[in-house]
Amino acid sequence: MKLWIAKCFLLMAVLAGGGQAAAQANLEINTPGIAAIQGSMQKRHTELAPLYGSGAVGLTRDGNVALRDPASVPLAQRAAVNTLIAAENQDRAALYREIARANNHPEWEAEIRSTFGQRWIDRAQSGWYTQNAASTWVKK
Amino acid sequence: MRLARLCVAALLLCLWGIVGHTQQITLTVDDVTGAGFSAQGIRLTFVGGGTTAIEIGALKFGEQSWKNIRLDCNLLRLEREGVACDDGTLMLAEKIPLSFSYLTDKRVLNVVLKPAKDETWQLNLRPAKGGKDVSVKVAGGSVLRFLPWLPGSMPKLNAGVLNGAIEYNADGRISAKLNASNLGFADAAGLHAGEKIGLTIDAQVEPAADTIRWNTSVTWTGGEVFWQPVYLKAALQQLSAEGRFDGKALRVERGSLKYPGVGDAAFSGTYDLAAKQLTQGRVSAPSIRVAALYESVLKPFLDGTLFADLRTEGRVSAEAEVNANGLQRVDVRLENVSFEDKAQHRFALFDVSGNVPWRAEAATQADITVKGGELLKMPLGAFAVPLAMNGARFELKQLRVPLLDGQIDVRDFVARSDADGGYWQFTGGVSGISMDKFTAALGVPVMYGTLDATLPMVRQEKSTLRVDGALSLKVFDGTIEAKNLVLLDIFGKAPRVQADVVMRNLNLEMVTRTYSFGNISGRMDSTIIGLELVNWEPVKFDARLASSAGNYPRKISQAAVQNISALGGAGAAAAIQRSFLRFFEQFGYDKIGWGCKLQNTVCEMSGVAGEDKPQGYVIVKGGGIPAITVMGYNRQVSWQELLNRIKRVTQGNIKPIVE
Repeated sequence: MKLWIAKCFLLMAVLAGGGQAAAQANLEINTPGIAAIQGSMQKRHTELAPLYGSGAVGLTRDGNVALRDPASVPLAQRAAVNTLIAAENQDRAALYREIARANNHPEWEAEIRSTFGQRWIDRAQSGWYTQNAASTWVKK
Repeated sequence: MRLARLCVAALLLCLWGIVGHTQQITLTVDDVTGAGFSAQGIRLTFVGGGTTAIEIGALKFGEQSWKNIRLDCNLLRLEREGVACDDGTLMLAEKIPLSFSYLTDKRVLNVVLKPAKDETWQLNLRPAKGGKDVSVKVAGGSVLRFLPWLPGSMPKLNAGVLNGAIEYNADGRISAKLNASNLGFADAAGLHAGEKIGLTIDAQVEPAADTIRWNTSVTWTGGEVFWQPVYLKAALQQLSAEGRFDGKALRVERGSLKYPGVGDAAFSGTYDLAAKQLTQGRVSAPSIRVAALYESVLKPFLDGTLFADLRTEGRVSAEAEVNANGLQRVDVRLENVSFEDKAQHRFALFDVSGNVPWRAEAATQADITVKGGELLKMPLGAFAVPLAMNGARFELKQLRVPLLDGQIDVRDFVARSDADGGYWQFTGGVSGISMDKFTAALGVPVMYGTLDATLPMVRQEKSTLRVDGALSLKVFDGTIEAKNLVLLDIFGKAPRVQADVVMRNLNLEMVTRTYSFGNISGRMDSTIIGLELVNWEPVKFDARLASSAGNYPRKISQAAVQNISALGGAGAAAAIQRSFLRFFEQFGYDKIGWGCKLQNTVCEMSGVAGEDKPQGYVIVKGGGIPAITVMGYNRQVSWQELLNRIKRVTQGNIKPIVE
């Protein structure tokens, strides 16, 4: 009986805390800030797409992008690719933050990030590399 | 160790005779230890016919250890002159063909290892006065053999071939001439990597009283290196240095870096090994080409800043000195340095020249002159920058930059940096700039009048820019004041601006002439409270426009009436009493009033205060003859729809239709 009550409380805590953001956050919300970030990401995508295709860059579980296979990027282009990745991750962090802010729940940022992380991975084109639950690179 | 070796030698010679008569003799030797070296479980097996095996159970050399090493020699020749093995095999981690000879009378040991095809390592030990001379010669040596000795923290070597020789003399002199080619390294993250690197290394070490004198020269002959964020290609860059080492400090007495195409630098310094600190250092780089320095060294560090893509020219000379307390002196001399924002043309400075003599603990003054420049495509005139410096504090009493036909004034600029980061502030303004030239240069609708603005106090801390007091601007014969102005995250992706704006007594004739809106004569006050911009787009404000108090001609043209009506939506246009008013070009009015409270992308509109009618609100209250009243009926409009209407109206897409 006691265990059952404890389980109920645990379930309630999970629903009230962690699950709430994903369930209630409006991920499609639009503000000028979000539009600006999305515009900047969209512009960058034309440069990132061939790197996803070649497997040089992959999508991480935590909603970022990462240099998966450095050896496939010539040294002369390494800095530009690293800059591209850093800028993309900066935008992604800003996007998660802005969406949380626009939902009037800045504290949801981490969960919005993980929801988006899964979303990007689900939407990745075949042939791209994404991280699985064990953070291992898998070709989609 | 020496005793053990003597015993082994004696035993070997004694056993030689015995082996001739028996099938096999096995001999076990005690452990042998020496400085940084130990061998355990040594076993020698002599088989008839000269075949010999030497086994070592465990060998330790420095930090490295091996187990079960075996040296097989097919024909060990034991002769009067010495011992030789022409055809041996060393079983280490791999099988390494080996030959050696030891001349007993001359006490010369020669060992040749051929671990791979085209790879030879040759060791030669010979007695000399006071000890032994040692030489190591390598041809086609793989650098990967050093992997176990390299610290795991550095990027991993993945290729490379060594050729050359190292000579050690019994008197302590060491000289090395080495040539590395096809050298490669990389770390897992790909942030540090090198490919096909060629280096020639020349180094000498020579003992002197209490110290060691050393000199070295390294030339980078080929390949490329990426060391986040810098990418460099070999261009025969040469690093040379000489100095002393006394066990406590490494002293560079003369150092030089030659970088073909960029320039040369000279350096010296002392590094304290116990304190792990540079206790004294000096570097001087005369006449460096700014363009080459920018492209190959600076640019990668400036990515993402205003200076990410510049066209540069000119020369710069620099000298710097450090001691145990840190940077003490920097002297920079600029010679006709020019730079401009290559792609976006946001700014440029031409022919910047002068000296910047910075001292850590003294007040100095930089005298910099600038011959001209550009700001947002507007020409800047010549100006001087009398920058006063005192350690981490920089001050500029007055800076006057000519812009178009007026000037930008910066007064009492103070910048300082401390442990918490940077901070700067200034007061100033712009004055005497013709609005028509200014607006034409910015590519916005041409306005008339003179631009005079006062900046009371601008402060920047971290990524927030704050304007204390009111930023006031004189335009359209009136004033615009921005108060409580705060810019957050201004260099970020979604900069935010907060302000309250008050406009007084704007000449409506000048305003309406600027935007093709039809003509209104009169005066207008406006307040925008709680203005909030995100990424330079308004998300929130409470704005009100109202006719200024006082006596002045109040006329509004037919076209302006139509446009105001259009702003209010289709309903408002119907309010015009078309029947007879269409014959008039302009009308009289008593008051104009309009409000928009923007929140959640919706603008809540209102009209002249106290004039609301049951069916709507009054935007233009008629007065005089002929009078006209314009009403608004829709109280709520989406901000985007209102913007579209304003755009259509100001672009003149709506022609007044007078029926």
